[in-house]
Amino acid sequence: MNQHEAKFLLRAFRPDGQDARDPVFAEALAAAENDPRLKAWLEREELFDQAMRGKLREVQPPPGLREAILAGSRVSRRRPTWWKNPAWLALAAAIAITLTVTLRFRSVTPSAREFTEFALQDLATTEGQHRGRTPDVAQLQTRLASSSRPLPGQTQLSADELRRMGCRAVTFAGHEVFEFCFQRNGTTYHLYAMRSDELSEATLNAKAFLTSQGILNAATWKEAGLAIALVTDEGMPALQRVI
Amino acid sequence: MQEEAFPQLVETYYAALYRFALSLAKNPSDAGDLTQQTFFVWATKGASIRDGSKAKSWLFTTLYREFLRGRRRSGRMVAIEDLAPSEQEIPEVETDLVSKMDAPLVLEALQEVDSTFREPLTLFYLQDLSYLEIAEILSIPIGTVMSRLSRGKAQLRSLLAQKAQGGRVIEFPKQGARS
Repeated sequence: MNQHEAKFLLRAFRPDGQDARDPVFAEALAAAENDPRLKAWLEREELFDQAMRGKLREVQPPPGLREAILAGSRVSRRRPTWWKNPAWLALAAAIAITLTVTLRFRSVTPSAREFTEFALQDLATTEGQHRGRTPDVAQLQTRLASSSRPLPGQTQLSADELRRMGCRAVTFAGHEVFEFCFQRNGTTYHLYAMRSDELSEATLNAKAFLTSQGILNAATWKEAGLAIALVTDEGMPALQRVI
Repeated sequence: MQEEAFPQLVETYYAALYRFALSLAKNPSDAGDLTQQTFFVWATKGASIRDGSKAKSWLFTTLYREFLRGRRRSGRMVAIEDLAPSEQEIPEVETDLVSKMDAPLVLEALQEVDSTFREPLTLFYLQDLSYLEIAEILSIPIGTVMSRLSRGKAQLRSLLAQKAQGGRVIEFPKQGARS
């Protein structure tokens, strides 16, 4: 490891010793021990970092911010259902109108995009009602939450299995759609699934396509006879992390 | 986490979150809003996190997402691309210089660093966040975090040096000097 590489790594080294046992820094730290110039540089770097930290911590939040947060949280906990927020209702109404018009004048064999719009609409209007789960669904949630692998191709689900587990089922254009939610790394995802042969589009494939509608984002793909739409309101990066 | 723990959570993290928000949003009003919004999201969703040790990372991640979401709404979203590590040596800035500068001036310099570099840099300086935690919060690879920290520090030092030369740093007279 040359001096340039060691400096590159050590610029991410925290000055309070918390990273002292991190193997990523071990070689660079050893190099610093054997090279007086590098050692002196590291000491200067640590002093600079400490000075920066000290200065930034002098910046104080505005008076009353803490009290405002606490008061705001008390109010938000009393809200009966978060989806009564006008922004959510407006979004739900817009999607509902689009879906109604589209499905009324088109075939009852919907497209993958319409399936995705249905999933977005369902989440925008009913998330507060997604309550109750069977032990089988709980097991499924745990399996998906604990995996770190991308979801497409890995869910190992089937319509029959989801029905047997007692997943929440809703009807879309005369077809059965199953829904359950799970968390991974603190992010909540809602997975909607229906038989892929009940959709008209042949373009739906194993590679997910992404859709955004307001603050909701969805990824839709096909796997093992299912069309799956994964929806979250926690941003596109959160979605991209699991596909 | 228990609901009763919420005030303690606020007490522990609101100042650090506010500073992170201030470095992103660059104005106190938006920073206050972002901080409040983060705890609002926690109150409605984050309380389901049972592992309290993940609360810090969750809060910083949420604040960053809320900032990006707001930026998307206002049409100010810019693509963030990975950047190659700096080939140039970082200019040295005397630690004493930073110590003598006012905190608002240091913050001003930090806020002028390109946002791509400023985000990891602020997290690094703010509150004991490791390169691993920063990578998780910003959803970028570890190598990219290190590269951005390296280049961010270079920019920051240049900006600090410029600010110091701008006449806003008052040097103490040397021993024996007379006014």
